[in-house]
Amino acid sequence: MVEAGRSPNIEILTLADVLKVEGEAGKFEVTLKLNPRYIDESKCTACGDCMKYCPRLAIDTYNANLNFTRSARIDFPQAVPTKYYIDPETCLRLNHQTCQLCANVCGPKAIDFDQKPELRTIRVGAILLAPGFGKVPKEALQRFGYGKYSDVLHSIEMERITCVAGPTEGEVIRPSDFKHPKRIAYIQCVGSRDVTCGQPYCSSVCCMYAMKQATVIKEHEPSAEITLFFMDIRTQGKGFDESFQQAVEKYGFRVVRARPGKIDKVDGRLVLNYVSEEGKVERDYFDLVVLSLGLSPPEDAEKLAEIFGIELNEFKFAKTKYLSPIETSRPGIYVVGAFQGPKDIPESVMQASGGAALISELLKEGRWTSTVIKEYPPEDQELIAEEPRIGVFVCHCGVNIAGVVDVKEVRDYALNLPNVVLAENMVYACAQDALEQLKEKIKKYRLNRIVVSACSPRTHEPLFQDTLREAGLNLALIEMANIRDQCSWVHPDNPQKATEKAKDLVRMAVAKARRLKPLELQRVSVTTSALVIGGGVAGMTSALSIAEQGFQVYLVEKERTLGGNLNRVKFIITGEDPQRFLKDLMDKVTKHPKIKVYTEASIESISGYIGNYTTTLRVGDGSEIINHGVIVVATGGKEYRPKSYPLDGERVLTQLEFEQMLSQKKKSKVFPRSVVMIQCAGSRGEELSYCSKFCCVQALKNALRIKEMSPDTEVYILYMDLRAYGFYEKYYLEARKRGVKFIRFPESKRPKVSLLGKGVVVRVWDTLLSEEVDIKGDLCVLSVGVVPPEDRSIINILKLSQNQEGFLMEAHVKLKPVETTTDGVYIAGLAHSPQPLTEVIAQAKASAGKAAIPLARGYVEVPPIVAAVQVEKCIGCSICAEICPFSAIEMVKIEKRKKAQVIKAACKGCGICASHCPVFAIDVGGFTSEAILEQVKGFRREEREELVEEKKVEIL
Amino acid sequence: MRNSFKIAILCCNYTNLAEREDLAVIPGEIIIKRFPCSGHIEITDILRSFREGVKGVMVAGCERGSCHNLRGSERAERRVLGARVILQELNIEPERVSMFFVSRLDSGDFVEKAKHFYKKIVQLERKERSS
Repeated sequence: MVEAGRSPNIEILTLADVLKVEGEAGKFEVTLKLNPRYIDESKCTACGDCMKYCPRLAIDTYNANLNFTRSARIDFPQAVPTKYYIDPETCLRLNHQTCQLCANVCGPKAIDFDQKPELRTIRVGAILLAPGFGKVPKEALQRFGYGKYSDVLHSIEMERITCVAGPTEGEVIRPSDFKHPKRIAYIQCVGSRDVTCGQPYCSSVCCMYAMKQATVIKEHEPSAEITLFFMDIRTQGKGFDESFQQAVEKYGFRVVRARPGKIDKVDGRLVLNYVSEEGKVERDYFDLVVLSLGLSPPEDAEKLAEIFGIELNEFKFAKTKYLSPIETSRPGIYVVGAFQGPKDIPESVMQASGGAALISELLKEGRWTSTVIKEYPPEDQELIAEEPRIGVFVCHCGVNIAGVVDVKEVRDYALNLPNVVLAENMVYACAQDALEQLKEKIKKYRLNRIVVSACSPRTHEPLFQDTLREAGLNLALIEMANIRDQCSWVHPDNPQKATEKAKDLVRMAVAKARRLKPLELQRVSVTTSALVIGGGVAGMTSALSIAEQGFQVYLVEKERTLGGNLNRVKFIITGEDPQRFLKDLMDKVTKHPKIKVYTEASIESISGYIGNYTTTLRVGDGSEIINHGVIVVATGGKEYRPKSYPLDGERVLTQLEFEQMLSQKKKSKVFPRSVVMIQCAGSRGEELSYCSKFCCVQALKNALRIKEMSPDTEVYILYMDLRAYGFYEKYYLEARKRGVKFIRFPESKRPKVSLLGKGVVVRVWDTLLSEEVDIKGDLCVLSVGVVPPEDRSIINILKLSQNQEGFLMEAHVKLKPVETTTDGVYIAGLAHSPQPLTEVIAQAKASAGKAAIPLARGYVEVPPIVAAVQVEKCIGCSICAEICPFSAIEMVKIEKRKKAQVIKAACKGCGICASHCPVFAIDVGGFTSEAILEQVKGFRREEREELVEEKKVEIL
Repeated sequence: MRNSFKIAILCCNYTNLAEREDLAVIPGEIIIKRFPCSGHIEITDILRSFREGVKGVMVAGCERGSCHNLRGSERAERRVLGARVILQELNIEPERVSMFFVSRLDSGDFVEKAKHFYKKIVQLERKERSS
């Protein structure tokens, strides 16, 4: 958020309504109504005086209406822009012409009650809609006694209650008596999978977030007993099943498969009645019940659709096609996030990058025509060269740090340290106004080294570095002492010692800061072409998008033809023709002037780093060398063939084989009379540990297809959890209506398949009957999972990290879902994780969007924390080159001697080389041996020094 | 225990899912007898409960208009009136049997009513002892 707020190329218009959208893709004219904030953004310093003096209580909508705030307020301290606003609905001045206290106390005179709504017209080339999701209808909540019993909360309220910055400061208490609830129940699917409130779809995210909240509650309140009521457990994302299982085991959650019908209250306790899977009526008592809310379309979805001229689907979400999941029905307008359909954070982030790629395709002609490039003032060399003048800033982080650590004491302590000229407290050092203050302080006190004692440098160092550059200092002259994670978070029960530790950390940081040296920022130019590995639908989509954005693409496929797994897919559940889509895509790719396709090609070697890769390809008998700037890895996956089933391809076959069979069958008389489908065959703990996400929908698709071709055929689907998430729930309902029989079996009792005569017999434990049943069928279809390809050579060449199952790891699950830890290498498709086609397409677009960033910019800025070799010390042993995990060190000949040389663009600054160098010839920028030794020395306390000296005296 | 008596609750299967645990606040012993419908509760069922040693009988049926079998709870009410006449003949306070109309959805209200009824029985018992 802060990053977006700081970019000079993003103008944030808050409190804005879109009134009218005219024009077409490439030249839209959008009329906006900017509602008044009543506080002048350019003057407000976010000091908070207006809120302090505002006499008017208002309900805090940001905190899910759980507590009170003031009419003049800011929702949360890190809000962007960090400016206060006046709520026109409650303000006394605006409603009753009285008060006006805030205007009198405001120091910078920022309050302006004369502001009027302003109309503004902006001209844009493309529009991206991301309005998020709306509220669940009240009726769905009231059915569970919400509003009648105060101890029935919904999940958003719970989210605020468990939040450290929330109304209870993270203490889990129930509203009726402010006591700590011991027995807590979670009811899933409130406002989802519910036909009666008009939301029959599944919201996809609630199973996982309920588990997260339960975990957080358990951490705050270890004695709590938490029961979760599920219909199906839909944790279909990458690694979700595993985390779910771990949480259940670690915290001892009770998982019940039932949907309680209503909530009762008897003697202050909430009572739930439900029917267990065995058919018994159960009754259970709880102190607190949390309703896991689903995701609804925005309340004003219809208005949005009218203004933007887009179509909505039957559930009032933005309508998109299965094969173009980001495009709305109007060209030039794109939709991402929950408005396109319920989805989690990683998927939303992926779609957002995909949306950026589509816009970049559309507007490539205009690239760089109206971009603002951020200019920094020249570095003040004189100031940097002076004796260290250190400024220490101790952050409160609201109550995050100040709640435990005595920050004032730490500040006073810091002031006495050598070379420290200024020590100050800050409420939120990372807030935009605090950063402005920081710049002013640097100028005023001529500071040339900064110590920020706050949180983790991992998340916030770049922000402070940027501020230093804006103030004319070199970005390396900052040191952070992490007194939040390492003091207040880990020692909340011992404030005194936590404060002592904070002092130690600050002293050490100051010691290191004295030895900090400026580092040079480097720019490396980029070869503006991309290598896409894998010619499946992910690779092709990605290649096409990069080429459409105006860059040369080399597409490498090991097979003779393009298309990958999609060649075998004959139908799509939404009714589109995958083969026609594939043919179109292949045509576009092969005919595109900027794409060069290599089939039957393999990769021999890849060397280089972001911006400058060189790859040797083996094509047939010859080989070819290509230079490119970025790499997209879309090596795909393949169908798993489970060993514990008698797979013979005739009577027992996989869904893909079955699909093939269905597509060849004309309405013949010999259609099988009974088909048994087994879900999770080999997956979820049988042979593969994970869920492959799309097999449930695949089974529904084929089951519906059978019912269409031959309605009399009996179809059984044996499942553990039917993961028809999102809008796929519609097809689940449809399949049930059409008479497909669903039988649930528990994880421990998998169905057994045996061949009998011309057909098969499947023996399965039916959880509803609580007994074993034999089902005779003509065919048994296995829904099998996806495994990564056996050939790992490309992954080994690129040294990409992979998870246990062999799927590639993203750099950050939520924030960087298509990037890898190696800069310039992006992933897409089944190589990342098993996922359905529509998500593969979105992900491929996302990786194309990300890959195009360095290509479009033409250079990459190398972070200065890289290794540097002192050539005179180096003995050329090449240990460093061998152990470098990023292949960032090469051996070169300098004056006939072998010396190590760092490829700065590839170096990640991990420091492994420095620690292994036998002659200490390698230093990592910002972490020189000298500075680290100084920091370690700083750990020694004065008292200890005195003790040591006393001892020495005694010995003498 | 001076204030501990046995009472019976006769109700229909649909009336409420409240169980002994919900009624645990009442110090006495409570016998819950469920019938397919409160309309199926006969006068003899009420009298039999007294013979089994209870001090009071609470008959609970659905609220008017919400009975699954349309008029079952009204029929139960008439049976209660009949039982009261017989009790009077036997020289037993007729208030010891009462009809209650309870909501199907609100077991809190049901438990409140049961508590209230129990208190009334306690009062009757005290009066009897003192006299």
